[in-house]
Parts: sequence; C-alpha cells; structure tokens
Amino acid sequence: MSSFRSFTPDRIDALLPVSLRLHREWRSALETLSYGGALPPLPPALREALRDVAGVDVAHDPGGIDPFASPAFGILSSRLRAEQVLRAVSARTNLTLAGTTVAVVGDGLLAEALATSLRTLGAAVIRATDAPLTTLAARLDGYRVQPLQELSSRDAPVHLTVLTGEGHGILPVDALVGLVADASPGGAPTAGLRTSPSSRPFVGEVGRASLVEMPSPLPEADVLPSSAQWRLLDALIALLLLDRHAAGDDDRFAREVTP
Amino acid sequence: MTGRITDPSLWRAGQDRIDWARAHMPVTVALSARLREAGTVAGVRIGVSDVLEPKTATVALALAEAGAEVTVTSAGRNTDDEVAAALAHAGLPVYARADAGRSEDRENALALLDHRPEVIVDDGASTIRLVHLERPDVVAQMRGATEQTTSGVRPLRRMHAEGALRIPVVAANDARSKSLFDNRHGTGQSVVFAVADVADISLRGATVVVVGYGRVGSGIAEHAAALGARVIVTETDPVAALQAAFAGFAVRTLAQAAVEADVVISATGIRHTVDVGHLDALPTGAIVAVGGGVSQEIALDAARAAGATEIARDGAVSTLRMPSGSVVHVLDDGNCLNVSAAEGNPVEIMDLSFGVQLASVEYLLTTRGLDAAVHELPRAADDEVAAIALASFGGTVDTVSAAQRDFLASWMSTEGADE
Repeated sequence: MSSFRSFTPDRIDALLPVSLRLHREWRSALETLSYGGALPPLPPALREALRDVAGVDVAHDPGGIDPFASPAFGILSSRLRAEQVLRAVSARTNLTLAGTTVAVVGDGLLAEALATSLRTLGAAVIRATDAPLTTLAARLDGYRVQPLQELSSRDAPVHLTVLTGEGHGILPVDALVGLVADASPGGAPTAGLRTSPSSRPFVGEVGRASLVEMPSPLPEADVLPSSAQWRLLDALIALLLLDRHAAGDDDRFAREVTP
Repeated sequence: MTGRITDPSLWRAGQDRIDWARAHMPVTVALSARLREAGTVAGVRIGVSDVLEPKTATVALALAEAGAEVTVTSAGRNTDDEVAAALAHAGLPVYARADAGRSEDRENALALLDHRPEVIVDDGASTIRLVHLERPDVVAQMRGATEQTTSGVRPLRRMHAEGALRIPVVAANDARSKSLFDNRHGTGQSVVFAVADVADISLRGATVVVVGYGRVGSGIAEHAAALGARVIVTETDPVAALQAAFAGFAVRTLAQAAVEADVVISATGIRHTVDVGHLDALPTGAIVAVGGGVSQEIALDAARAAGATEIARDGAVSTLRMPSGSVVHVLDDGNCLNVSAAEGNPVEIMDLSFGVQLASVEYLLTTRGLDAAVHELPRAADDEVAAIALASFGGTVDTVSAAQRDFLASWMSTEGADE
C-alpha cells in the first residue's frame, strides 16, 4: 500500500512505540527478525517501509519462532483479537450480540477471551470443543459445552458461530445456520471456502450460513490498518527483539505491553 | 411536492441494505402483515420522521405495503442517501438529504406536513412539535402520533401539562419491549463499538468514564467492560449510582473521573453534561463522545468561548486544544455518535422498537376516544412484541398455572393451606 511508503520515522515511532523503543535500546545494525506460526506475513510494502525507516526487517518464515509459544503474547493477542472480531461482526452485520446464542469453537486463549466478552455483553455462549480440560473448565464456569461433531445439529437457533482455529480442523461451515466468523489468525479453517455474494458487503453466503469476513490481526495490503493491527504488530516485533536480545524474557515482554 | 433526495441512482445499494435488515426483523414483519390483513392503515396518511437508515426504511415500507400513504423525512445528519433513494424508488415521497443543514431540515419536515399526515411516527418529537407550532390546520385533522425516544416524550408531557398538546400520542419509548432493550442493549452496543471504530482505538485496558447510569448508560458501561475497558460511572441520582456500584463499576464524580479518562461517553441526554471544566481537566489524548443525547451535551460552544481551539480534524474526529493546554478528541462534534457516525442500533433490537411503533399506530387507529394526552401502549400489545421477538431468539415463554392465578387473585392468607 502506498501509504506504507510514505512513513516518516516520527510516524512509525507513534505507531510502534514499544518495539521501536526496544530496538533503539539494542540497535547496532539492521535487524532481521523472523516469526513462524499462524500469523500471516506482512504486506511487502510494509515490510520494506519498516526496513527502510525503522531498521527492522520482519520476515515470515516457517522456521522462525512461533509468537504464540509466549504465554504473554498469547494473552495479549487473544484479547486484542477477540475485541477486533466482535467489532467486525457488529460493524459488518449491524446485528445484535446481546440476546443471541453464540457458539465459540476451539480450546485456546482466543476462545476463552471471546466467551468472556460475549457473556459479559449478554450473549448465551456455547463452547464447542472436544478437549477434556477445556470442557471441564467451561462446564465449571457455567457454559454449555458441545462436542465438535454436534456443531451442526442444534436444538435451538445459534445466531453466530466463531471459529478460533485452535483445537479444531476444517469444519463443515455449509452445514451451519446463521452467521459464521473465522477468527483464527491466518484464516485456515475457511481457506478455500467458496461463498456467493449476499446483499451485505463483507458477508458471503455458503449453504444456509452467512460467512462474515474478518480483518487480519496484522496490517494488510491495500487496507488502511487499524490501531488494533498496529498494536499487535508492535507487540510481535517487541517479542522478536526480546527473544533475540533478552533470552525471550516473557515477564519483561508482559511489562512492556501492559497498558 | 413529491420528495427531495440527493441522488435517486443510489437506490440499489440502499435496497440491498434494507433487504438485509428486513430479513432480521421478525416482529416488524409479523405486525405489518396483521395491519395489512386487517386493513388498519389502508389509506391512512402516515408521516415517518426518523433517523433514515435501513431499519427505519423497513418500517416505512411495511406501513406502505399495508396500505398507508407514507411520507418520510429525516434530519440531514441522520440521513443515509442510499436508503432515501431506495424509499423514493419504492414510490414514497422522501424529504431527506445527508448534506442538509438545519434550515433545510426544517423545510423538509414542513414538506412532510404538507402531505397532511393523520399519524406521525416520530423520533425526538421534533415533527410533532413542529406541526403544533406551524400547521394547526393539519393538527386539527390528525388522529395521533407515536414517539420513540426518552428525550421526545419529555417535552410532549410538558406540552400536555401546559395544555398545548392537541392529539393523542403513544409513548412508544416507554413500552418495556422498547426501553429495556433498545436503550440499554441497542445503544450500548452501537455507541461503544462506534466510539472504538470512529476513534480507531482498542478499549482493552482503557479507562472509560460513562456519564449517567440510566438504561443507555448502563448498556454502554456493560459493553465497554465486555471489550476490556475499566469503567468508571458518574451519576447524580444516588439510586442509579448505587446500581452502578452493585454492577461492579467504580462510581465517582465526573470532575474526579475526568483526570484519568481515556474515553468519556455522555449518556444523560442533558445539555452541558460534560462542561468546560471537565474538558479542561481531561488528560491529553482523551476522547469525548455522546451516546443518545442532545445538542451541546458536551459544552463545545462554551468551550470555544472559553478559548478552546480546533487544531486538527480527521473525518469525524475533531481535535481541540483546551485552555489548560490539554488536547482532546471530540467525536462527531458531540452529536449522537451511534446514529450520525455509524449504522445505528442493531437490527433485531430496533425490530423490537419498530414493532412497538407499529403496535402503537394500531392502538391509535383502533381505539376510540383517546384524548389529547401522552398514552402508554397497553401491556398486552407490549407483551405481544416481546413474545414474537423471544421466539425468534429461540426462547419460550411459560404460562401462569391455575394455582398461581388463584393465588394472585386472592387476598386471603394461604398460610398452612397445604398442611
């Protein structure tokens, strides 16, 4: 995106305050930092701008460190992503969350963050998982729990199904009814799913389900990045720098990104 | 005159959005079908004066399909030109343009009155008040009106108290199916999400000050907390303040809370709620917005008079430098943000409100002898709206048993009756 190329040092400092402060602490030369895992790669124009203006080259490499291995990154990213997903569902459908029944699919931190937020704002949450530990915790926390294979056999309307990408594979989205959102970091659970257009932008029809397109957790090409995307990128670069220069000090990472 | 809109060619996009809304409005669809089958509104001239977006358009179209002669107007800042075009394309006279200023808004409302509506479906009571002030001949022929906002019902009650109200008005706002859901959950979701989107901020870890803990304020507090904000409530009513405390929120004065606010959202519907002193005390970077609301709920005119200056403007975000030196961001010039800068309350919640509006129109037109006063919607009609909505949400309502009915009907003590 051309706007990435127009970055000045001051502008990029404001967008990535934590990571660039850490970068200055250790900077000696251009840093090449690699991450793997489920997060998508950065747009080439952004990667280039970061390299030229800030002196960090952030590469997606399957052999790079998986940021989700850091407990602190997992906590931060799950909370930011849950907020981002709920805001996107609301803005892209103009439908209510309070009063609805929402199935949250998966067994990771993102599923927990989504379930907590949804319950707080008045949705009835079903945790869909096969993981025994998640089932135990969810039942003790008062959630209805459903095995994955029963996801499409429902005795009451489910208005929204949120896929988190953790603890489940490809699911038969076309067998679901209502809204479906793929909240996973890389969109793997719905990759290649063919939808037909609906009367609403960002919503595609597949079977009796309406798939609501989700924004990427990191800045995307050709879309003006949101503050949530910059915040997660800031945290990602900070994590990679701490991994290199401070032996992956997760406590320090947590302190650096705590608001 | 047959309408005044910005661009008729925009109708297709507006129609798509109306179709999406209508597919999620079971109450409106059910009640409008009944109005059509009974012929209740057939040939009745109805003026719809409301925020003009896909949901309100659905109501206007439903009334028209039920046989009413519907005319629509809306203030410019609350008008979606695509939706206006879709209604005009459907043959309704529409007087609404997004770029209209205050004087043109008034001309548009007067143009609606030139259609001599027998019923006005109002939002904010501005058109009901206008017809009383400017078109007494039209009022004389009216059968009544409905009003769906708290801030609109209040002046109508004053009009009645002072003998100025000349038609029956159903306070749709006061129906439980409306106020318990629209004001709290609907406005709560739409305001909080609009603040986050318009200001482009994450609420995770932010300190959000909610001014007023009525139905709107409590919904805003709840939704902000759900997105990870630390919420502080300010209130002048001790009972409401206590409710906020029991909901787990810190309760402070606005003067105390302002100094640590990342975001202030006013939900009182009272002018000068966020006054110059509060704005001056905010930390640099704080965001101020209004949910629901009235003009100058944030005292922006007074702030400018006191020396505040706008140093930047980016879309709906105005950045002011206050006399104290702090820099604050005001969203959408203190207008009702969820309407003017977003898409309004969620569809299914507004379906409840519009179901109440349709039930109110039905009540007005089928009840003989309603006097010129502000009337409540009968409980049975309110219950019916809720029951239709409950079914669409997957719930089932229980029934009162004979034993329960006997107990409720008796004044005799039943102590020991089962022994």
